[in-house]
Amino acid sequence: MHAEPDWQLVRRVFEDAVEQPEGARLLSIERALSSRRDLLEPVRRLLAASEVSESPLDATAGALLGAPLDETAADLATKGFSASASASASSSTSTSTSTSTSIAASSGDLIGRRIGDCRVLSLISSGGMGEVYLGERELGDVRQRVAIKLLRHGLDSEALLARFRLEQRTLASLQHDHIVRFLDAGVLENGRPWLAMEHVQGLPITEHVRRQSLDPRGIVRLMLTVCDAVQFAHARLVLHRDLKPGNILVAESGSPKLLDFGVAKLLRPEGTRTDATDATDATSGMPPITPRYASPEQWRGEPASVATDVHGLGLVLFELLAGCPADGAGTRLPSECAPAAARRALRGDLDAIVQQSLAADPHKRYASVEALAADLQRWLDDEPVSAHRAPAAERAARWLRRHRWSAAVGGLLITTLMAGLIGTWLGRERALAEASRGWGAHSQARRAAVFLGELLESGGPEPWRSADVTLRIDTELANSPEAESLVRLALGRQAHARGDSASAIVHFERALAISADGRGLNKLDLPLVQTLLAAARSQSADTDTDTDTDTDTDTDTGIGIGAGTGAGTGAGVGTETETETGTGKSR
Amino acid sequence: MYERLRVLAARQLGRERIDHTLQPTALVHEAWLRLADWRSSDELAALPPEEFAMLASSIMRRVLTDHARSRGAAKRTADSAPPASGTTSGARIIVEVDDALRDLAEQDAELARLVELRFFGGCTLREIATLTGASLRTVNRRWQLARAWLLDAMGQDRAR
Repeated sequence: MHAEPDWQLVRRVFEDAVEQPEGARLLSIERALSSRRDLLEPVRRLLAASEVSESPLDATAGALLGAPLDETAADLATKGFSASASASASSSTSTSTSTSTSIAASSGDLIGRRIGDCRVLSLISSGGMGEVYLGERELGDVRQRVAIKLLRHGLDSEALLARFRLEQRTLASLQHDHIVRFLDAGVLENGRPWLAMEHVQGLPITEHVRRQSLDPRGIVRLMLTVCDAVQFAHARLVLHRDLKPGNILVAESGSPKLLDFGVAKLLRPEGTRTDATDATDATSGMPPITPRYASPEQWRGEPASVATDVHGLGLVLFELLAGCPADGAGTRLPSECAPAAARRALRGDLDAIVQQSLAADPHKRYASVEALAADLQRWLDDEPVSAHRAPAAERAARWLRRHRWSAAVGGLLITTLMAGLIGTWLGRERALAEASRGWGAHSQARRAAVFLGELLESGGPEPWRSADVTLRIDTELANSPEAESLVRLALGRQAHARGDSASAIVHFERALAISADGRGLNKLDLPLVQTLLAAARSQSADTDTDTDTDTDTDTDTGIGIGAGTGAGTGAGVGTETETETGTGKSR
Repeated sequence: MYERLRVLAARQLGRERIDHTLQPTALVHEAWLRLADWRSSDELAALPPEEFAMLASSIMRRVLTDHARSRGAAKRTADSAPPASGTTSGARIIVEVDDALRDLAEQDAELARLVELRFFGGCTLREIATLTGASLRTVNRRWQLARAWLLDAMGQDRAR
């Protein structure tokens, strides 16, 4: 037992260390305790204990007390099974004629037998890869249900076997709530490799989504959890390589679990000459990857990468959103395959996210699962998604080319206005995609765009404070609350950026007033406008007290706030505009 | 109130098998009786969730360890037929954890409470995070430490 101050130190050092990757932990504690080497040993012991992957403490006391009866039940089951082994074998052959008798016979042999430290209880399923058995494992004092996968394929060479052993250690270190725990692996006397993993009950993710009739938001939330698990593994340098709906089970609680992490690699390590024998592997009924869900680079026989799993996640996302699997060529968008009623919600951002995940060129996909997840999260939060960035900039450039505003007004003004407008416009499109408003809002956004375009041509150098402009807003946009609020927002931002807080306040207040009764701005945009208004107010207060206000600071504030919203789009448009203007002039 | 206890107990015993010797109802009854010994049900109802969970977990700890101790004792007397290994071992672990937890409480009461909520109360780390207002990450880190401490302590005990 440690004295209090020592204990606090032990605690801190330990807690810091467990947050490190396993390899870096020892180093971390040695560094932290360089002046207290007497505490090194206790912390080291704690660390060693913490790396015990399974312990009775991970169960609950009640479950432990419940164990004995479970054991009896399991014993009975085993006896029952072995007694009727021949019967079950013959029934399985008669029910599924496609299953070869040899499998049935071997399953009869295996039931009741030990594989590793697991006892085989019953056959769960059998398929192209081999058979899956329900087993039980006794570790210390805890019993655990396990699934044992017995592969059809033999591992013949010593080198492959060694590789297999090395891999399995990595897999065993993947401990995550949403990844099925890999427990053990080995090779039977007859050369058939086996894998033991945690036994999970659940439905394939597609089936779960169908039964729960999850909407796109629900699907995206579920996929975020899946992404999290994949990202966790990637951070530990483990790729899944075979992501597909059947490998993502969802428990009744709605919690997803990923199966067979890295198993594809166990079966067929890359960079070995066996790659050349893929075709024979495939014909022997054990494809190293599932053809329908394989990525283009896997088809080409190139090594898998993070982008391979991004592709896999994209396929799953496609299938969940559209309700049917993506076609091999990947030419169609989810919204083009979905039933008519669901199409609208997918068009736009979700289409773009799926499309970017499925790009044929791995480099054009999201650079990481994290990036994909971030975009999904942005979609959930109604923020502009990055998958859209390029098209938005293109659209803006095209638009600018059409209206040659650049000659009349300064480039900065245009870019800021455009960034604000497009940012808002994109938000609007999302709102539309959610089918909450319909075409009315869209046409109003167009009106706003046209109106602002005209202002740029004829609104004078400071349209936000022109009485003429105010009059035009009042007359031309009187019955278009959405358009008016958009125009006011754009003008207010511009005024604010130029240090004219008084005008900014007027525009923002008016935009909020229009939107107060549910018309006008999308309610998701309101907090932004309120923030802008508050900023304008405090800026105006500053100007009142200190007449010497530095204009640079003002501009900074304006841009800073703008960046929070139109962010990526703004920057993209900025550069696009300048180049476009340049070519426009030279022509 | 009774419902809350029942839910805790049912989880404690694992959702899928309700029908073993120590039924949730029995556990709840026992825990409930002990709780009622202590406080009036109005008082209990007024407890904030965290305190209720703490109280319920510590009561369950007592009920379960008593049960485990008595079961271990019963087995030892009936040595003629060797018991299924799981019977004594599950019970023995509970007793061991209970003992080690006493030592941990002296070293760090906060960690001991966490173990009580999780191991005896059957709360998930996420629930504990919500109850205590700490982040899941913090709770997880603390759990890692508590778990390591106990495993280390229990390992030494066994070696002795």
